[in-house]
Amino acid sequence: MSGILLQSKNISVLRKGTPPLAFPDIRVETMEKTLVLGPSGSGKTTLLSVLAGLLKPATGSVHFKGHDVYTLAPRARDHLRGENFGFVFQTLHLLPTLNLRQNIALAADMADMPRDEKRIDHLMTTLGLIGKAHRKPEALSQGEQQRAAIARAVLNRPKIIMTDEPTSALDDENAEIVLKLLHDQAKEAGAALLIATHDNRIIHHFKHVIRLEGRAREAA
Amino acid sequence: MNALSLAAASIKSRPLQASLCVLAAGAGFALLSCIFLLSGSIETSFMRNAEGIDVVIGAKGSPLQLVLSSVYHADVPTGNIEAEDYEKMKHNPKISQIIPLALGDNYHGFRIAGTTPDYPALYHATIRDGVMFSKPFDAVAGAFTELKVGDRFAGVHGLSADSDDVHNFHLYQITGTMKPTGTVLDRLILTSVESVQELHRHPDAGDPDAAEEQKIGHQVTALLVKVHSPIAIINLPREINKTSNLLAANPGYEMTRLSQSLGFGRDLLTALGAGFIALSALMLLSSLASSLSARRYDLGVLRVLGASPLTLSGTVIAEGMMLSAAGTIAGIAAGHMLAFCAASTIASLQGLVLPSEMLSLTQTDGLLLTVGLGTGLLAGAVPALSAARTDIAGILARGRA
Repeated sequence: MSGILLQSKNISVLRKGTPPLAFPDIRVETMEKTLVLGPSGSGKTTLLSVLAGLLKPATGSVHFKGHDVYTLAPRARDHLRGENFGFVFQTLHLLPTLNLRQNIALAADMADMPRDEKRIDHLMTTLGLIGKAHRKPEALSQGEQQRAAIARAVLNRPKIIMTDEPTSALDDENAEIVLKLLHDQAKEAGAALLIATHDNRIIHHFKHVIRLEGRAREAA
Repeated sequence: MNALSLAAASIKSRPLQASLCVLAAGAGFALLSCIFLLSGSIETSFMRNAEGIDVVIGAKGSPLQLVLSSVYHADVPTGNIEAEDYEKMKHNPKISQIIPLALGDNYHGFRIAGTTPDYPALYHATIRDGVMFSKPFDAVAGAFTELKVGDRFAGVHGLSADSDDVHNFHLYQITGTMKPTGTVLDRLILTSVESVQELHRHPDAGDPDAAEEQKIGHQVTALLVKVHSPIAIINLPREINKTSNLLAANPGYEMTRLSQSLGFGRDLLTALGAGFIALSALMLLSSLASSLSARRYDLGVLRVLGASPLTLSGTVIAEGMMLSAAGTIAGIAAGHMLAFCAASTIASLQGLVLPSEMLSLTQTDGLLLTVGLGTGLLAGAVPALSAARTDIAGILARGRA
């Protein structure tokens, strides 16, 4: 089942105190695995924010499943993101005030979707988190926190999982483990996978690679 | 998880800061609640006790003292007046009802008032057990005196419980007890004027005040007067004060003057309570602002997961309102308890304020709760606005601080 899931054209972003950033056009097919590769400061996180409907670009457009994301009403855009996008951030981003299970369930709660407790149990079992449901993030290891973040990202069976530098801070062995986990979970959820990173070690896992140059390109 | 449970989780994660906010709000609302309860109850009691009494007539002295001693039984009388003056006043055309009071004795601190059955009728008092006094030395006991029908006791001269000048000539006998009225009646023992006079006409042998007491045997302490027309409320005291050696005072006027004098203290305490609440609002604002700055990253995550800016604002506002509601409710409860303790233990409040009334919810509690929630809403509004405007992309790019 293929088709264009996410597409951006002529995106540029204005950031205070820096020249406008222009990004290459992006096209992600359903269930496709895409790598956005670029050095630090090249605008990878900014690009993910634009693609996810979190930062309106100064120029250009973003289409998700045929919808122009930035012509949608803000609430509709929030819904679209909550239901269709899963995120794994660079610094994990589990809420310290909530326990592990609540952190995973947040994905459904914030997207106004019914909580599927069985799926939460399944994910926790699959990711080796069962028995730690009531622990706060501070009581979990880095690896457990990362797996919890992945569980939250895939809970709603999103159409695309976006991750930002998931392997940069890991050694080769753990980088491979996390990458396999992301691949497996994306496959199970039927989601495309878009990884933004400066980590060249994982490039061989992807056929579709988009490169960002330096501090991106100065917009014409 | 919704805005409420996220707010609750945030509060739970900062127990010390949250407790301080609740404590500050609680202190302010406890003080205000206690002041409003006591002052409201005292004012009601003042009105209730002076109901149906237009003018008080007694011996020359301070008009306020006369009113306090004969209407509220809260001060020593200005002196006594002759029984002939009472007889003369009965025929004054401006007067529609006149109730005599013969004071000067007590039993265990409860004042014995010689009067007529019109006096309890003034307060709509009803008999709980037994019957109203009818013969000399019959007595009817107020609800707080703990006397029972059939009890016999000797009156003690003076208004203090520790006086040792016991009137042994004749014992009183309780013929009836009254239901609580929420008025001074609850702390009085009523008998006929003749009983009090008769007792004083027979002082104990060797009593150094025998001559003085025998004089009392032909006197009354005060007259509670109801007049025929409203204009007489002003004219009658003027006429009596000008043309006789008696003192006539208007209870309403005297109590207004007293209330104005006491009002300063009440206003000061009210201002103090309001100051506490303002301080708690600032603490709440500062707590929410610092919590917001620490949680900005978390709020960004919630937005990424699909939460609307409204949900983020709602979380912050819910946190402010939960803290201020907790403080307000705890404060109101503490205020009721403080007022109850004050009404139960402070002697000058007894007979003015019913302790049990201090435990009932009032309209003022609703008003205080509204003010408390409003304070939480106001304190949360600025941080909530800031939360709604969270620059998610910027936060995600910067990472958790």
